[in-house]
Parts: sequence; C-alpha cells; structure tokens
Amino acid sequence: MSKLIKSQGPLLALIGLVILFSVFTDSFASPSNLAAVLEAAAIPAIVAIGLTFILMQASIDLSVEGVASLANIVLSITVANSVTSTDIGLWAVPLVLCVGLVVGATSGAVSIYVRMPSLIVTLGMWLTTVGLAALLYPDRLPQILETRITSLAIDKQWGLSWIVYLTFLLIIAATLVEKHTRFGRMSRAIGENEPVLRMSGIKVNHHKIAAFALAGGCYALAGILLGARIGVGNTQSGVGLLFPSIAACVLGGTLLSGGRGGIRQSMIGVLILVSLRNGLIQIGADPLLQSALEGAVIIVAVAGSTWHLRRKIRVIK
Amino acid sequence: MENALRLLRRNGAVVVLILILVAVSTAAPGILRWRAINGLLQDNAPLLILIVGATLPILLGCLDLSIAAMASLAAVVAAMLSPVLGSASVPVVVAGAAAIGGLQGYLIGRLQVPSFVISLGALGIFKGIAMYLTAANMVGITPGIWIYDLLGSRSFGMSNSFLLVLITAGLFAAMLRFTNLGRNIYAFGANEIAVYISGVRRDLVRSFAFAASAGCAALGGIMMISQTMFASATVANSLLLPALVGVVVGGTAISGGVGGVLSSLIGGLIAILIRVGVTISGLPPESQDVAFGITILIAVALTTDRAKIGVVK
Amino acid sequence: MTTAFSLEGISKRFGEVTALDNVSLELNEGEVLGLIGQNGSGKSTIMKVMAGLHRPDTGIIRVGGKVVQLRSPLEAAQAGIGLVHQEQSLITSLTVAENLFLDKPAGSTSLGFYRWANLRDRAKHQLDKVELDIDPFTPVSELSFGQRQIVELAKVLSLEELVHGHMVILFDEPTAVLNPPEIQALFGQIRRIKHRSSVVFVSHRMDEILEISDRVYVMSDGRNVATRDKEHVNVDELYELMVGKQRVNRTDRKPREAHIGAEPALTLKNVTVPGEIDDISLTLAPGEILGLIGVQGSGAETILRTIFGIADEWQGKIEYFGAPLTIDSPAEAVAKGIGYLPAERKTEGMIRNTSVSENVAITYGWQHGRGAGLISRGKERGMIEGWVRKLAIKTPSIGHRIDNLSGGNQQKVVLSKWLFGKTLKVLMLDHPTRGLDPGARGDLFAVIRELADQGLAILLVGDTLDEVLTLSDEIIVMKDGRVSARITDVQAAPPSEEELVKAMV
Ligand SMILES: Nc1ncnc2c1ncn2[C@@H]1O[C@H](COP(=O)(O)OP(=O)(O)OP(=O)(O)O)[C@@H](O)[C@H]1O
Ligand SMILES: [Mg+2]
Repeated sequence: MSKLIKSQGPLLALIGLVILFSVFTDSFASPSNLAAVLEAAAIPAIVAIGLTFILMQASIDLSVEGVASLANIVLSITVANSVTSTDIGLWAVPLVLCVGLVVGATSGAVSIYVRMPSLIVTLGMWLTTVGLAALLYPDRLPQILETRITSLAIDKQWGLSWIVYLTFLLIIAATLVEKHTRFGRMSRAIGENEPVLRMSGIKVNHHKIAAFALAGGCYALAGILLGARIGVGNTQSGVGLLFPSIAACVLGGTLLSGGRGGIRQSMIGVLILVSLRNGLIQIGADPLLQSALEGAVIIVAVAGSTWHLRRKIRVIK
Repeated sequence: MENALRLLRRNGAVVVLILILVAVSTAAPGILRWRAINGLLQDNAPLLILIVGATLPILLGCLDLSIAAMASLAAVVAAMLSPVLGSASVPVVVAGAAAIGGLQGYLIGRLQVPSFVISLGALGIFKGIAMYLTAANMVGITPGIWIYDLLGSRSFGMSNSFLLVLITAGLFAAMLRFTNLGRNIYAFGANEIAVYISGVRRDLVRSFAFAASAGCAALGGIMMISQTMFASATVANSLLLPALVGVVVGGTAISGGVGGVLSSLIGGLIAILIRVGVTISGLPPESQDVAFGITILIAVALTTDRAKIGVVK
Repeated sequence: MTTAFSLEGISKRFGEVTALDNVSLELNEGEVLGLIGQNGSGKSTIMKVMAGLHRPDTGIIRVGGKVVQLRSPLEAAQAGIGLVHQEQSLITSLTVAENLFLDKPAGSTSLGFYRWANLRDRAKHQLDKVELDIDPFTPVSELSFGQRQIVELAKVLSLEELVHGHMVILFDEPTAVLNPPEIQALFGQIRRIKHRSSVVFVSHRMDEILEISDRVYVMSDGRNVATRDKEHVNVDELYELMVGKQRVNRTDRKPREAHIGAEPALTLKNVTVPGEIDDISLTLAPGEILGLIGVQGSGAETILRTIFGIADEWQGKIEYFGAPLTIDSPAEAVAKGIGYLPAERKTEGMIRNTSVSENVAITYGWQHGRGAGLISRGKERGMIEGWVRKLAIKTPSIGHRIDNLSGGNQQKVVLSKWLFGKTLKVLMLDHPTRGLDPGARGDLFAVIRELADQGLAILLVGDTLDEVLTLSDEIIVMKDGRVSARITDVQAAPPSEEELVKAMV
C-alpha cells in the first residue's frame, strides 16, 4: 500500500480530485463535462509532451506561447482565409510543423554551441517568436476558411473532437519513443548525468537538439489545433499555455532537475490541472479566487506526491 | 584580441552597457540629456528594484516567479492601508511581504518542493488574493501622504525611487561581499549539499534570499503606485519577464553561485536601454519584439562568463 | 615480448599547471603495469589521455605499433582501450544492460528502436563473465554499491567481444572503495583477462601494487621518475621513489591511560537507524581516537551521519558531554562543536566551482571575522595558506578553483575546513584517506594524532586495517549494522589483521 502511494502519488491525487468533485457536484461526472475536461486537456497535453523530453534532459523551454502563436498565424495566412490570397491548402500543416521544428532546433543549437542556459535562450526565443507573429499578422483578423482544419475541432465522434483523438495518438507515439528508442532512454539519462554520457561518447548534443526540435513541433501542432478551435489567426492565441504546461509536468512528477518522470506522469499532471480548473468552476468557487486556489493546490499536490522523496541530503533548488 | 575577450568576459556587463549607451546616444543624442535619463530611471525604478531582489534567489540556483504578483499585491494592500496607516503603510507592507517571502523560502526546504513550483503556486495565490481584495477594480491612494510623495519626487536632481534602488543594491552588494551570509549564499549556489554538511543553516539562507526578493518586489509595487496614484490587481504583473531578463543579462548564472546584485542592476539598465534603442531605431513597431529578443540573446552571450558554468542546461 | 601500446613524449597542460611533462610509457602484451605517484602527479591525467578523454598537447600514441589519434572515448574503445573510472560512472535510471553497452559503438538498435531481446542476451553474457546473477533489466538504482562496482567492471570487460585484437584496460584507483574480498575478486578478473589484454592499475596501496603488477611505473610532478620490475623492488624503495624521502616509522601512540577517567565527549546508547544500524553503543573520550571499520554497507558511516544530524530517522540516545544531544541538522552539530568529513568528496565535501579558500573558510571563517557576521578575507588568507603548507596541498594559489585539483588534494582542502575553527571538540572522519597518496596519508596521520593530543575526540571510519591499527586507541568492527568485535587499548595490545578481517566478513 505505502509503496503504491509512493510510486503513484500523482495518479492517486488525480483520482482523489475526481472523486471529490463527483461527490460534491452532480455536474462534474456527467459525460458531457468529462468530455469537456478531455477537450480542455488536449492542447496542453500536446505541449506537455514536447516539454517532457526537454525537462527530462534537465533543460527548460519557455518559448511555448510564442511558437504556438506564430504557428497559429502562419497557418491562418497560408490556408484559405479571409485576408490574404495565399492558399496552399493542407500543405500549410507540414509547413507550420517545420517552422516549429526549426525554431526548436535553433533554440537547442544556440543553447549548446553558444553555451547559454536553455532558460535564457528560450526566453529570447519567446520574445522573438511573439515578435515574428506580430510581424506576419496581416492588417485584419484572418478567419480560417479551410474547413478541413476547422472540422478538427467541430466534427465530433462519440462526443469527442478529432483534436482529442489526435492527442491520444500522439501520446501513444511519444510513449513508444520514450520507452523504446535510444533518444527516449538517453533523454532521461542526460538529465541524470550528462558528463558521464559525454564521456561515453553519446551524442548528447544531437539528443538535446532533437528534444528541442520535437518540442517546437509539438507547440506548432498546438498552434494549428488552436487555430482549428478558434477559427482565426490571433497573435495572442498561445498565451496562457506555458506555465500550466510546465506546472502539469512538474505536478505529474517530471522534475525540473531532470532525470525523472515521463510522458505518462506529465499526462496525469495535465489531467490534474484541467480537472481542478473545471471542478472549481463546477463547485462554484469565487472566480476571483480561482488562481489562488489553483496555486495552493499545485503546491500541496507536488508536496504531497513527492513527500516520500524527502531526505535531508537532497538538492531541491 | 585575447586580452579584449578576457576583459569582456570579466566585465562583460559594463562593457556592453557602455557600448549600448554609445550606440543609443549616437542614434538619438537627445537621450543623453539629464532629464531624459532621469525620467527613464524614474519610470524603471520599480523594475530595477525587482531585478535587485530577484538576484538573491537566483544566486542560490532557485527561481522566484512570484515577484511580479507580489509587487501587484503589495501595491493593492498599500493603497488600501494608506488611508488608515498613512506613511506607516509602506514599512508595514514591505515587512509583511518579506515575511511571506521568508515563509516561501522556508517552505521550499520544509516541503522539499522546488522553488519553481512553490513560487509558481505563490504567484497564483498572490494574484487571486489581489483580485479578491480589489474585486478586479482600481484602488486609488489617498493623496498627500508624505512617503508616497517622497518616492514620487526628486532630490539632488535624481528620482528618489531610483536613489532607493541604488541604496538597496549597495546594501545587498556589501552584504554579499563582506558578510558570512553573503559567502554562504554563493557557496549554496555552487553546492547545496556540501554547504549543508559544512554546517551552514541552509533554511535560513534560503529564507533570507526569498524574503529579500519579496521585500524588494513589494517596494517595487509601492514605487509604482507612488507614480500613478492607483493600484490594480495586475499593475506589476508584466514585470516578471523583464526582471528575469535583467538579472540574466547582468551575467548572473541561472544555475546559481555566479553573479551579483550590481551586475544585475547593470543588466537591468542594459535591458532598458535596448528597449529604448529598439523604440527609437525607427523599426516598425511589429519588429521591435524580434529585435529586442535577439539583442537580449546577444547581450547575454557577451556578458556570461562561461568559464564558470559547467554543464549547460 | 611485444609492445601493445605506447606513449611517446606526451605533454599536457591545464592553464598554468603542467600535468604531464614529456612522458613516455610502454605497455607490453599481457602485462599488468602498476602506476603510482603522489596526489597530483598526473596519474589520472595519463589514464585519461590513453582513454581518449584528454587530448595531449604534444606527443604520439601508438597502438600495436601504429600511430593513432584518440579523439574520444568511443575511438579509444574501438582501438580496444577501456577505462574504469576513479568515480562510479553508471547512470542509475537506466538498466544494467543499457549501462553495459552505453559507451560501445555497436548498439542493439534498429531504426533507433531498441531490440530488447538481443540486448538482454548480450548483457546476460557479460554478467555471467563476472559472475553477477541479476536480471540485466534491473535499474542500476536498485543495485547495492558492491554490485554496481562489478557492473562497472563488466562494462569495461565487454570490450572483449567488441574488439578482435589486443586490449588495454585501465583502472584508476579501483580498490579505493572495495573491501578485501572484493579486491581479491577484482584481481581474479585482472588475471583472467591478462592473456589478451594489458592492464594499467593505479593504487595508493603499495601491497596491492606489488601483488598484482609485473612492472611498476612511478610518477612525480607529471614526469616518470622510475620504472621497476616487480622482482627487484620492495615497498620501502617504491615509497622513496615516490615521495623522495625515506619512510618514517610508525610513531606509536601514547598508551591509553591519558584519556581514561575523563568525562566522555560522546556516548551512544542503543542507537538504531532502521535498515542500517542496529543497537549501537559506544563512548568516546576527549583525546581519544576511536576507529570504526567494516565492509561497505556495514553501517559504520551511518553512525557518524546519525551523530551529525543527517540521518532521516533514528532511535536511541546520544549524550554529548553528559547532556542529551538533540540535533536535527549539521548546523546544530557544528554549533555544538562536532565536525564531519564526508566520504563522498564530489557531492558532499567540496563546493564545486569555488576557490580553495572559500572551501576552507565556509564553516569557521566567521570565527576569524570582525564580528556581527562580517568576515575578514585578509585575516583568513594567512591562516588558509598556513594549512595549505602544513598539509602540503598542491595548488597554484588559494584562489584556484578546487575542481582543478587532483582528487587527493581536494580531500585535503575539505579536511582543512574543520581544522580552521576554534570550537571543534569532536571530529568525525569518514574514510579520510580515500584517494590520498602514502606521503599525504602520513601527513594526515600526524595531523590527526596532533589533534587528538590537543584533546579533540576523534571518531574515524577507516579505509584500511593498517589505518585504524596505526591510529586508534580503540577499534570497533562493524558487520551488517551491528558491532561484531570491540578491541580496547589497541596500542598496548594490537590485534592481528586476521582477527579483524574475520569479524568484518
Ligand atoms: N581539468 C583540469 N583542469 C586543470 N587542472 C587539472 C585538471 N585535471 C587535472 N589537473 C591538474 O593536473 C595535475 C595532475 O592531476 P591528476 O588528476 O592527474 O593527478 P593524480 O595523480 O591522479 O592525483 P590523485 O592521486 O590525487 O588522484 C594536478 O595538479 C591537477 O590539479
Ligand atoms: Mg587521480
């Protein structure tokens, strides 16, 4: 029992939260609300997938919001839209994903070869991509007219949009990568002890750049799906993605110090955070206090789920 | 060439500051006029004091994400207390903020939760409380209170707020250089466990650093309202990133143990001047963010002493 | 005999420090070369050059007669050269199997995906060689310290299958953290691989060197000062070659009466740490040296850590000068006058990226300050330089970064922080001589004795039997968390080494 609590703290926290909300409200456990929770979790989950590999490597990426907004703008002006005349159809999707990959790879490469901490490089990249999005923004709000994009959010199968199914697919793929590829295995190892890996001749730099590129791709995908959902190109569309995603990863047990956690843990973290937001609304908490309650729960949840790791001899930072 | 590079690495921040100052003043000579500089310093005093405070947790290798939210909360509380307490509202709020910051630092050690998480949670909590207190409205401050007027005015031709920034930074710099606490802060950033085993009271060190950063943040919030005479639950929230940028541009390493308060102050000035430079550069407003982002990256690349950091994360 | 590997005129500088100065070395096929030298004489550096971790500034390297460039450990591995590090280098979050093949060129992957079954078979084969019976997919974090050491060895020995020609296996102080049976097992492995590989073996223990090596290569200040065949040399001569002076005889400690009857500084009554030590009682008087010895995991270190306030939970009673000791952190222990030198130098001892002087002054620097929390670096400087001289710490200046000192010198710096204060009453030393060369060990012994004579109570966890026998007034032998033997009055009636070993295992 105690071993279960130790290894599955975040999962138990999630279950506890769900039970709590289901008992105190009738609305939380209704199928439509649960579907709403999954819908709300989908895009943060995609971002968290990308972040997880970076965090496992003990780096960090702050450029999430900028890259997602940029992706969203690039998408909206290259598919059929109400403002510009360019229309490259679905080719826009690989184009946007490439933009994400390139931005991510650039962050990684600058961090490694100029020897600057990822926190700073990606901070700069955040500002830069926000600026690029503003630069590319046409005079008026571009409506996305490409129905094959917007239908991702509108068409529902068994109550859930394609966005959710796509997210599921991505989670499975990412888990495979994490568990069974050299990149995935080495990512955690890099976070634990990078110098030894370097000495062993592992191409640490390649794995790091790959993680940043992959993450950039994930944020770009998030930007595309945001576009599908809001139906327009907006320079602010990615705002609000960063801290919840990092918090979700940490909640799930992917530590910022690297070497621990993984996709499964991060996904649990995302669900905890989204259920919490949803549940607080359902039980009618004062919306002004919303962020205070969230903040308190984040602290309590992380403290609770890592309580068993407490040692006097432990670096916390 | 080698010598030039070494000089740059040692005193990177100062050199970059001078370079930028020269560049900006050639582009727009008007900027060097005392009035313009003074105005700039006055406007940015709240940011600079946040930068000074934020340096201490970063020297430990921690991160305090709650500073901007704390500044807003402090502004709101100070405005609400000002009719009752008058000038006393300032020391009360700053002391209260420092106590809360100290508690944050203590909790990091007690709960063994990383500072990133604790201060992210605290950010939410402060924001929520400030929202709740103001019901998302503006709060005005009673005019004519001595201390707010003082902060909003000048002496010796210099903004009093900026003078306060200088005094605070000087005190912290002296503390870091000449006291045992300062020595412990640097060592903590380099190897927390070894410092703990050497008999240093690490909870105390951490609490102090977070108390200092929260206290400075509160002071920043108060400086803001002394200029605008209004507080809202989000007045200072946009200052978080610029503050972190300032610290980092100054050459203080995020991984801890390297850097200092004065470097951060210079870093803050660099970031502010880059902003100014970008604004007067004649670039279209849309490309200013891009230019700012890239220039900041270059500045950091020039000011960090990379010989001192091991693994780049 | 044919030369398998040679270095010719290798030099290597780090900034102002010349670590290797025109060094040449020849390694014959199937030979074990013992490499000895004082701390900082360049042993680790020469090994790292051979393993492709450092690139020499000048000089050439030949493998099997051909000149080669070893640009990375991977290239070294391809040339058949493998290094067992001074510190453990396993990644604990990965499985044993993954660790075994971490640094090998041909992996068990196709298209980036692992072929687990293949990896398991290959790993199993390697583990069989070293007779370690564990599932290859066990995460290293679940292994005991001793098991990890064997995996480390298996990792290097797996070169056997990967290269066809002759191998060169390098061991940098492998025995520093092993107990006697483990050392014998290691020697067995070395003898087994001799038929197809040459071995370089670094140790600070002369008896080991003479037991396993065919030739001994002595270094001093980055130069090779002598090479001797095993047949023609003895311990005393090696010592002289290394240190440059004659070995001083054991100065025996004063008989025990000196500190009998004094109020004990430290008394432990039935102290238990769940899973680590069980029902330990002992007393320690001022001026006394109490030696604890036991194999890795016997719990000797845990006793020190419990007293120092870093055990997470414990039961029992500890008294300090007659009063109960209730402390929960090192800070409180230090405030009371207790000091602790940890065994884990890299993670717990030294403050990395910081100067030698800050490392020394961190604990007690304030005692030499101006009061009110103000420190005086000027005053500290003179005293620190004094300790650097007294302990013969090899460093360009006290402002030098501690990371760049050799292992043994780092240890001396960490020790001096405890000698820097005025209020220390009990000093606990956890494997203090780990990594120290014989000369430095002698110096350290003298310092420890002097401290005890000045009235400091010393609790020591020894690395070797010789060490506790030389220093202690009383010896406690630990086994599986319990006291298995207690020898009082060691200096008057020394126990035999066999007696101690029997109690240990
Ligand atoms: N990376 C480095 N940077 C600067 N100096 C170094 C570095 N590595 C080693 N040195 C210096 O080179 C010299 C030789 O060091 P080395 O580690 O080879 O000694 P060693 O013989 O292995 O000593 P020990 O017995 O203490 O392990 C020392 O003076 C050390 O300070
Ligand atoms: Mg060595």
